[in-house]
Amino acid sequence: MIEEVPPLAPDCRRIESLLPPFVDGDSTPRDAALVDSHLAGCAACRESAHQQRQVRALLVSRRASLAEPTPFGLESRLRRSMARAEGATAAVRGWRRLSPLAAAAALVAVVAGGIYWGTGQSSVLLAAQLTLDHIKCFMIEGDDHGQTISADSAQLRLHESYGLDVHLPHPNAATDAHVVAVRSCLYGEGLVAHVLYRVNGAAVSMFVLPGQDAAAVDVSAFGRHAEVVTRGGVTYVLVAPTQLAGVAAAVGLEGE
Amino acid sequence: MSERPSPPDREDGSQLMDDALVFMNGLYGTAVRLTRDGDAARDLVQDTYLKALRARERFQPGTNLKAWLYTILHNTWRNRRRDQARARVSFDSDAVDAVVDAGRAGAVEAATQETTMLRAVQDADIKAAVDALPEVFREAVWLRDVDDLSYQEIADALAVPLGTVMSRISRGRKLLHAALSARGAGVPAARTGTEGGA
Repeated sequence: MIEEVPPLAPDCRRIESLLPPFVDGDSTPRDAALVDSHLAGCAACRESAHQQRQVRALLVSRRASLAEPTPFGLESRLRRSMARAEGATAAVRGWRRLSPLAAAAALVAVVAGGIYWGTGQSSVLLAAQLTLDHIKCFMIEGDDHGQTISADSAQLRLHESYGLDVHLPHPNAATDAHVVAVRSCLYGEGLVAHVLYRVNGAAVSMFVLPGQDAAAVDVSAFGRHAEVVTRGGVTYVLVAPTQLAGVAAAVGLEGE
Repeated sequence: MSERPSPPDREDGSQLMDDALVFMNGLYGTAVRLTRDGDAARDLVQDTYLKALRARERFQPGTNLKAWLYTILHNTWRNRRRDQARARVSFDSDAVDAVVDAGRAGAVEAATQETTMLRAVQDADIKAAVDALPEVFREAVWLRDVDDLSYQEIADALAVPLGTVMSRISRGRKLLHAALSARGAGVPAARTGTEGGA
C-alpha cells in the first residue's frame, strides 16, 4: 500500500547513480561499501536495487532472443555501399594527385561534359547507368518486405536519412502504384534520391536529380525501359519493365 | 609480385571494415530501438558504416572499435533528429520522478510475485516496454544490458558524463520494471511523457 511518496533524500539521490554498477557487480570497493552501508538503513533504495537487479537479469538472460534478426543481405549491402564510397573517395584522391596541368585538362573535360549533358546522348548514358542501379536495388536488395509508404513519408525519409530534399509527386490514386522504399545512389560525386515503386506489381524506379536539366529521352536497355523527363529544372529518370506503359502518369509525374 | 599485405598495412581500410562488420548485428539492434523502424534502422547502420569508412584514419588501431562504432551510430542518429521538432528527445521529468519514486515506495512483499511475472514476460513485451521509454533511458539501458557496453563506453558514445549514464540507467531500469510489472499485472501503464508511457 502506497500511503505517501516521500521525496528522495540527498543520500538516496547519490546512491541512485551508484546502484547500476553496484547491481552489475562493477562498483569500486569504495562505492560498493558506500552503497552497502546505505542499503542497510534504506528500504526504498533496497527495493530500487532489487528492481534493477531483476531488470538487468531479465535483459541479460534474453540477450540472444532480444537481438533483432538482421535483415537478409544487410552485410552485402553494407559491403557494396562501402565499396562504392571507397571508389568515389579514390576518385577524389586521384583528382588531388593530378598535376596542375593535368588538373586543368581534366577541368576542361568536366566543363565539356557539363555542356554535353544537355544533349540527348548524355541522357542515354544517364538512363543506362540508373537502369543498372534499378536492377541492382530491386534484384539484390529487395523492396523492404512489400511494405508501402506514402509519397510524403518517402520524401521525409529521403530528407532524414540522406539529407536529400526532393519533391516527390503523389502516385495517381486511380492506379496501382505505391512507393515501397527509398534509397540513395551514388551518381557522379553525389547522392541522388532513388524511389522504389510497385506499379501493378512490377518493379519501377524513379531517380530524382535536383538541379540537373537533361534532355528527354526514352531508352530500352538491359530489358528495361528508361525515361528521362524534366520538370521545373529537376530531372526524373523512370525505369520500368519494357512492357509497362503509363508509368510517368502512374507515379504522378504527368501533370506535375 | 608483392606479397599480400598484412592486415594493418592495408591502406584501403578493408581490414578495419571487416572487423567493424562483426558488430553489425548489435548496431542494427540498437538502431531498431532508436528508430523503431526496420527500414530506417538499416539506413542508419549503413550511414554509420559509411561514416566510419570516411573517418577510419581517425581510428587508432588497438582502441575500442565497438565503442567507436556505437559513438558514430549515436552521433548519426542525433544529427538526423536535430531538426526534427516532432521527434525531439523530450520527456516529463516530473512524471518520470513520480514513477521512479512510486517504485521505490512500492511494496517489498510483492517482490517474489514480480520476479515470477518478469520471468514470464514475452520478448515482444520487453521490446515494446523498452521502445516506450523516453529515448535517453531507452538507449542507455539497451547499450548496457543488451549490447553489453561498459559504463565508460556508453559515456563516450553518448558524449555525456559517467554519472549521467549511471543515473539514466538507474531510472531507465526502474521505469522498465514498472512498465513490465504493469504489463504482467494487466494494469494501465503509467505515462512518462511525450514519447509514450512506461
